[in-house]
Formats: sequence, structure tokens, C-alpha cells
Amino acid sequence: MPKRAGPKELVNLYGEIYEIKSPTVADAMKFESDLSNSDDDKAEAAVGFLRKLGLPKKAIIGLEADHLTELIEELLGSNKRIRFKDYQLAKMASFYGWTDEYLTAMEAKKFMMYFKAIDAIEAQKQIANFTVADWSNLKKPMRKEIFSKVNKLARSVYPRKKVEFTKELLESIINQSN
Amino acid sequence: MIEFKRKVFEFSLDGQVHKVKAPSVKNVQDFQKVSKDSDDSESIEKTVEFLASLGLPKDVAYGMEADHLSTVVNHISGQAK
Repeated sequence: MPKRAGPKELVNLYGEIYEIKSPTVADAMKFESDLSNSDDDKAEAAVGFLRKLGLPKKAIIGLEADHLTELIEELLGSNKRIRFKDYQLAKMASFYGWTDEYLTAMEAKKFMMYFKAIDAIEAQKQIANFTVADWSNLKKPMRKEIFSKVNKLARSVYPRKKVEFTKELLESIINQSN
Repeated sequence: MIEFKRKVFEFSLDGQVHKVKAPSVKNVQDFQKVSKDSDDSESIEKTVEFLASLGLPKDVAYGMEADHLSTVVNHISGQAK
């Protein structure tokens, strides 16, 4: 049976367009381990990771240093801390009921999206389960604080709508208030 | 599509504007390599070489006050984080 090609990413590096493989969780975990094993040259691990995805070495070393980090974060779907550790896999397997093989073959970006959703789903369940009994021993400021924290987590997966203040919008606001 | 565009830093020295490219992975790697191998007496020379590879003429760099030179380097490496 022919092997199915995995998802691809298009990358525009200063006008040159490259089609590279989107990393899987297995690729990301290998990169994590290479990073922790390289004492001096972390950049070398990053270069190796990107080369494995099909980006030419010349293009990688020509990247501005901060773009190297940004590119990797973008490919892994992680914008703060890049972490693909065993406990994350275990949490995903236990929460969604997926197998280890299924998870390691998953696109890293998709994995990260599902992982981030766990907190939101758990918080949404928690909000649904809040009862009057939970609040009886708490003062109002504390109740407010707990609810606001859980609510923030529950809404964390929904993208925020950006409002662009155009001339027309401002005019309509002014007209409404008059 | 993931897209990146090159950055250029500008700084003014005694009223004259100079442009410096943001360092690439190769620039940083080369600079780290030579900094590790050289002793302190050579460090200014290596810094000037590094800035020259980013487009700053050597005579301009040598004419700069030492703390101004390190301000430029810090600014560029701050961007690299």
C-alpha cells in the first residue's frame, strides 16, 4: 500500500517559498530530547529539526536568529514554551482515550491544540457542576475570583474578536449616542 | 503560509544614520565560535567584525565610543531573543 504523505506547510522565507513537512509529535519529542542533550549549541538541534522536515540548510542558517525560534514555535503550535513530554502524551491518552501510536503520529500543531483544549473543557465541566453548596463557605470576593479564573479557562479556546475602529463604525456609534 | 521578512536596524551616530541587518543564525554561530576561541584583548576586534558582517563599515565601528558599540550589539542581540 502506498504510504500517505503527511500534512505540509508552506513557508515564505524572505521571498523564497518552501514546502516542508508539518512535524509530528514524534518529531517534536525527538527535537525536545536533542535540545536537552545539546549542552552548548541549541541552534544545531534546531537546524537538525528543520532539515528533517525538508528545509534546506542554506535557508535555515540564513534565517534571522529570532525567526528560527518563531518558525519552530509556529510549526509546533506552541507560542510560549515548547514542551512535548511523556506526561503530556499520558494526559492526552487518558483524557481523549487515544493510543500512544495514534498520538505520536499526530501533527504536532494539532496535538498542541487538543492539549490546550483540555483545560477549557475541564473548566466548562466545572462551571456546569458548580452548586450552591460549593459557595456557602466562601465570601463574595473569593467566589468572584474563583469563578472568574475558571470562566477565563473555559473561554480560553475561543478566539477573541478583534474590533477594527473604522470611520463608519465610529460614525454609527456617535449617531447611536445622539 | 508562514512568512518572514528581513529586519533592518537604524541608529544615528552624531547625526548620521547607519543601517545594520538583523543577525542570521550563521552570523550568530560564527560570532559565538570566534568569541569562544579569542581572548579578551581581541573581543573588540571580533565585535567589529561581527557588525561589519551585518553591514556596518569597520571605520564607523572603530570610531564609536566603546559603550555605544556595546549598546548597538545589545540592541541587536536583544532582538534575537
